[in-house]
Amino acid sequence: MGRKKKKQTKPWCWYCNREFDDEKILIQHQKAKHFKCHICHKKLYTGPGLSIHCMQVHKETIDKVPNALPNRNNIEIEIYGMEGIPEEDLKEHERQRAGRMGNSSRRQEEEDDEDSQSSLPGQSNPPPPAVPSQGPPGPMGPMMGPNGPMMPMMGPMGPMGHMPPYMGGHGMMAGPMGHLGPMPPPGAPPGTTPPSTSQPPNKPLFPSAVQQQTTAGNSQIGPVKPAFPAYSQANGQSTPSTQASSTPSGLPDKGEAKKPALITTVSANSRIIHPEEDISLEEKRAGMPRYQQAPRASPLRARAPAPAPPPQRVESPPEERRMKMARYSQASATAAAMAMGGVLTHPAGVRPTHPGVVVEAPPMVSTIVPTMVTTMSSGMVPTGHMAIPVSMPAIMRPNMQPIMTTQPMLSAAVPAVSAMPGAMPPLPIGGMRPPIGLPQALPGHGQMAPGIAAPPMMGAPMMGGHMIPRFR
Amino acid sequence: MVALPYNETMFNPSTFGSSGSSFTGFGLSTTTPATANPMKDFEVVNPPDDSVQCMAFSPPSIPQDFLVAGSWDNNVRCWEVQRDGKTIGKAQQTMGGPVMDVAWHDDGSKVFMASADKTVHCWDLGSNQKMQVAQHDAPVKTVHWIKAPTYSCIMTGSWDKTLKFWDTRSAQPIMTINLPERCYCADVEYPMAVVGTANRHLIVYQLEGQPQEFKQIESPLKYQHRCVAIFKDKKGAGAPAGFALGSVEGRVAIQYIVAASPRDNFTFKCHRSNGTSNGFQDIYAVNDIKFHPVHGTLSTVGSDGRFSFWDKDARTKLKNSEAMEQPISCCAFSHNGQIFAYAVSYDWSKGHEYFNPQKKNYIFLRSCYDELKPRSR
Repeated sequence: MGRKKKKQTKPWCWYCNREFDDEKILIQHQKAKHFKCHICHKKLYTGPGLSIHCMQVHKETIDKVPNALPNRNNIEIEIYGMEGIPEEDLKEHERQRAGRMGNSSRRQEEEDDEDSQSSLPGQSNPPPPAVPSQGPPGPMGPMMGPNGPMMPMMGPMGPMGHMPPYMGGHGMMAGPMGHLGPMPPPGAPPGTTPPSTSQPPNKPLFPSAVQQQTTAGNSQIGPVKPAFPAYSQANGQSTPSTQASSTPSGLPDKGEAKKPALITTVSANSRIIHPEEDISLEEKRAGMPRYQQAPRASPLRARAPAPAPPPQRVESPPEERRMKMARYSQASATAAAMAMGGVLTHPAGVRPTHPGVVVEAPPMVSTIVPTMVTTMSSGMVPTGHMAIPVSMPAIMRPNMQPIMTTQPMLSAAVPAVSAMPGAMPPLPIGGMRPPIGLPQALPGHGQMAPGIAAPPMMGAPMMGGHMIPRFR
Repeated sequence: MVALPYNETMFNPSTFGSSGSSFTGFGLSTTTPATANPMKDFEVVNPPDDSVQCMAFSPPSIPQDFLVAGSWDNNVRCWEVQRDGKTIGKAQQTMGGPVMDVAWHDDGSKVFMASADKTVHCWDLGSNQKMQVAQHDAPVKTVHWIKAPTYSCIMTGSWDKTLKFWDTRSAQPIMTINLPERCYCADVEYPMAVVGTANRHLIVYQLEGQPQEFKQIESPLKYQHRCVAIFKDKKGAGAPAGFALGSVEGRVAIQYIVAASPRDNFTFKCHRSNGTSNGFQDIYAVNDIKFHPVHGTLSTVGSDGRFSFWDKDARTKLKNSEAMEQPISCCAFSHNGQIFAYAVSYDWSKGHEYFNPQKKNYIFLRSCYDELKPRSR
């Protein structure tokens, strides 16, 4: 920038809010972007001019100015360079500019709360593009919107652009951490001390200083309403560029808590190739009927929802019934009740019986009858694929076909066998082993056996003994 | 390290749906139209019948290169990849639902497969058997093998908003960490793990001693997190220093865990079309990011059907590919950085209307070592 004192305000485009060094450039921009006929590419001089041209020459009506922000695309308003801009918009721009200047002077050290908020009056004014510390739009140029051939980062990746406002958060966090970096805490040697203390391991990668969340991050992550992923957060992240700014569109969603969040772009000249709802592509796809199927071993062809149940599946319903039976036969009535609750939900649910079975178990473990864990988790090792259960039933009953397939794993599994029950710490040492009746109920099905067999066999000593090597 | 007898007899190539014998000869099939392979890369034989969701190359612990790919057709396929670009179908396993992620055990003998059927199975390649090793309440989106000095386990992230760690011998997780939202992407480079979830949460974990949350980071991106990859300092060697995060809005953020200065962290735009046609610029999702294991440069693949190579230190783009006929859904580097694999298949970015089950899915292999050399600053 040559001159210290430029004109009061630098020229900016009313249609898209971009700033320019020079009015000439501004006009060139307007002609190329906003007053260009999309049919014959003729550059007109004003918006109304363009509209008339299209009507007369191409017999086509234009109702909005191309590449303009949604609230600024009125074709009737005659703007040429900086002339013709309604006063109100002028003033508003001034305010925003003032806010930005104040902001940029503090660089990355400050939160941008008040600035962004002041710059979001209603949704009529999309927040100005985040201003890097330099301020002038020049360096921002390549970053903001399609500017001529908008090659995705040809050559240098361009200015950091909108990072600085984010750096407000990161800068703060990096600051204190930087201080402590050079003096790592007198080494809690990793692994020996329970890291739950205030000192995380002293690797330089994870400076010991401030644990966990950054100040900004903390407030950010927690209360973030799920509905506005694209919404520029209240605590001061100005949106990156006009192109990707989504703030105004986020706001209307605010009232509808139920509505799934949407991915929105404000920019008039770009669109995100993504379904509207802000769920991942995989989630959307997995919800399609063609992928809603019971887990089965059948190969490629079987895409239609659950036509032919695989062999495993056939076995499971009978097994579930047996499980229920076992529950009834349990000594503990409460345990039975739990089991019922747990088991019953599965048949009701979609396919994954055993996986489903397990589903219930973990939460139950912590809350109520630990005995559940036994059966439930044993249910988890259903498909005969698990080696652990395999070895167990081997003891109980020899006729375990499913086991055969996993023979190779046995050797590895055997040492772990004893550890398997160990995996269920919450299990009471005492004698509450409900499914004792189960083994009989489940002939030939390896699934239940292992867990079931475990309790009667192990009992208390099991727990204390060969636990799986935990994190040490 | 386990020496594995990858005998031909062990695997039955005919398990692959199509013809029993694998293609011999050169990677380029004569029936592949030039438009489907504009980069003229090696085509992997017998690709999956539905979109490829995830791919992984075998670790350095085994001499040959094997590639596994998980697909929406519920299968995980394994190919041997030879020096000349030729691929040989080796084996295949079927899960109960679409396969969301695959991960190799560090000894190269097992592959972990995470599926939408809410389970993770371990596929022992030697015996060609699989067994369940993890369970969630919702589809499992990510699985990673963690090899720590004091423990080994798999880390699974699921849409049930939990991150679980499993000793594969046990039916119960050894640890469960609750996530603020559904897990969308994750990466592990010991001792660091990073998880990106729905609603733009971003959490870093340290895995030393015991996995625990290190910090939650305010997302540098304004749009849905889609993929994340950890990078190490010193150009691929050294300790993990930060990660690259990709969103659905054609943008990648480079984030250092400890930034020497705030300027170190930055974002860049990628996978966007030129704003020419009708002034509209199409912004595509970044489907996958992977760092070159040797050079430390990175590759991104997007819904626009292109892959790009970038040097994050020089902040430059190294290469942009031609557009494929369909989006590129995932990519992978071989352990020595010689081969870049990318899968061309529909990623649902335009909804179900644009899904054409008849369109063939491709996996291409590219010799990439030189292309990914960093630009000297």
